[in-house]
Amino acid sequence: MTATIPAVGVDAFIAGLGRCGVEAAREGGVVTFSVEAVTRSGRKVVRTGVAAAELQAWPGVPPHWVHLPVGIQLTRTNADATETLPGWTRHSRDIQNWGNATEPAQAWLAHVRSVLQEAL
Amino acid sequence: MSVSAAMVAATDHKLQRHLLREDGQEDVCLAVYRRSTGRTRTTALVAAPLLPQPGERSVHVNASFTGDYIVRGAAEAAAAGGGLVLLHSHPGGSGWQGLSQPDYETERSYAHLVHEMTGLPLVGMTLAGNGDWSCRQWTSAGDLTYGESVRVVGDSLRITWNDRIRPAPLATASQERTVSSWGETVQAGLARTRVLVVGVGSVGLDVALRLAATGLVNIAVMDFDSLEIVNLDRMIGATRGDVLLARSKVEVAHRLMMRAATTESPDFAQLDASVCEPEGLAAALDYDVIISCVDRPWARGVLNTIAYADLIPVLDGGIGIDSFDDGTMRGATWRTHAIMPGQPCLVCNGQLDPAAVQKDKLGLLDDERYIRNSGGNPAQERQNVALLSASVSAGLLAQFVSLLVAPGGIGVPGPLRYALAPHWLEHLPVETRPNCTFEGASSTGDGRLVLTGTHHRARESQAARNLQRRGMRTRVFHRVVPWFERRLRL
Repeated sequence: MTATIPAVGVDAFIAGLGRCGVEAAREGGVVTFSVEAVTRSGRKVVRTGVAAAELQAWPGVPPHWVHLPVGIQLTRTNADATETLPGWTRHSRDIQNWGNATEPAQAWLAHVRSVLQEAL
Repeated sequence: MSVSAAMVAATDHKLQRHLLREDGQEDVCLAVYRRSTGRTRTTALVAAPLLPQPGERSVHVNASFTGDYIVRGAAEAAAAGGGLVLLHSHPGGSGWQGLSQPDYETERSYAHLVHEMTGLPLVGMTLAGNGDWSCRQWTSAGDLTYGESVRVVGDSLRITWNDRIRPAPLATASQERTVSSWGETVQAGLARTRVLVVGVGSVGLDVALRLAATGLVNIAVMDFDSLEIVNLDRMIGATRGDVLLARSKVEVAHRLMMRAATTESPDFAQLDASVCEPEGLAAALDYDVIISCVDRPWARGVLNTIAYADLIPVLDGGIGIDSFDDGTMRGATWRTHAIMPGQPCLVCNGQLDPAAVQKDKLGLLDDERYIRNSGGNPAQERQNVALLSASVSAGLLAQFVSLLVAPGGIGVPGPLRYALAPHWLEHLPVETRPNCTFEGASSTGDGRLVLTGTHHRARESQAARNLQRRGMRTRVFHRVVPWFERRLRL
């Protein structure tokens, strides 16, 4: 019998998305993936991302910034274009009640979908 | 580097059941350990017993084992990213155990092989018949370092001390009433326990002074802040002279602790550091108990991590004040809790928001432009809790006594909340969530969640203090204030 070290960090995030059927890839300092969401203009598949630097303590601590291509505009946002991909913006979004989910990646996908509800 | 070992009570129980046989004979087994590397101490965190399979060991008053058992154990330890512990029992012994010549030769003969297979030193441990543990570590070349302590973390913290390396300090005359409260044995253990107080504001300073007065020899205070005039209503004993001289909070705390000390040879450390940085974290790993007197989420997140990953109990507390809309006081609540395996972590008990940890780490809680863009007010003042902070320190110290002394055999009480207006003390029915990442990472040591980074606020605070100290005004005060300090109470 051996104890196993829980999977943590960027690889654990990507593996978690994989378990949810979402393929993710590293692009520069950002982990990108696509989610299907219902936005103000209807159902859309949207590319999104998370800074790898924010995933060091995943899943104990969630990322803060939601990275989206510039074409995705949110109605209310505190955003900037630093530490993200060219042509992308990162949006400040607090995630509530972190730590309950059986599959943290699923909770993150739900968070991104709720953010995208505001997308124009 | 000193050496120690630690394990949770469930692991201790499992090992005792195997090693302390009903027939009174010695026994032997293996376990996986993970390393926790502090600044001056390494700890072997015994994570998973590897009990022998049929034919791998024989018991004949003494116990022996096959080389294949060691190879299997080392392979499993390596696969788990850990090292190997070789454990045996001395059923008739009590206290810290030495090594007989045959035991010495046996452990030494496997040191090289185990190091080659796992990349980590072989650790030897002995269990005495009364449940006391001892430990040692072997280099690949067969050199031996005896451990200084073994900690078992359950509802209470049970520590076996190596009296040769860490002898019990003699109780002093001024400790007579303290010793009469819990006896010489408890005092001897308590006095040797290494305690770190993180954050020395009103609560942390009070806690540190009372630990010093109790006779503890090794207490450290960690804080990166400088003393400011607004702290004088809460940091009892700090002076206007300290402010004029731009002294750090840890300098002030250290001076006051030395005055309060009742032990003959206090060895108090002042750590002008942030536990959020790798150096601060490493320093924290040298201690047996940490008392968290910080309110920022990042620091509490780091402490929440090492409470489980490194098996260092963290006693945490805080206070909140409620006001009515007209500004009058509605009430206040303060909470205290022991954070360690078997107890709910700060996230599970609703005292830490992981999302806030990330924001604090990113510097967003201090970024005025970000706060304004979010609709917040960067100049919002924190409420002053001077009159009530002693209640928090009292709660933390009571948790400390339950953890180390276990009055009546009862350890920590679980999360407590005190409501001021009705004066209710509540035991909160909080349980660890099934998916708790922090509890799940128990005993992972250096494989812990990475939460440390550059703490810009700490660097800025230290830089500002250094700049102030170099200024002409402070240099003049340095000539004048100490003269007045000797003659007046500033």
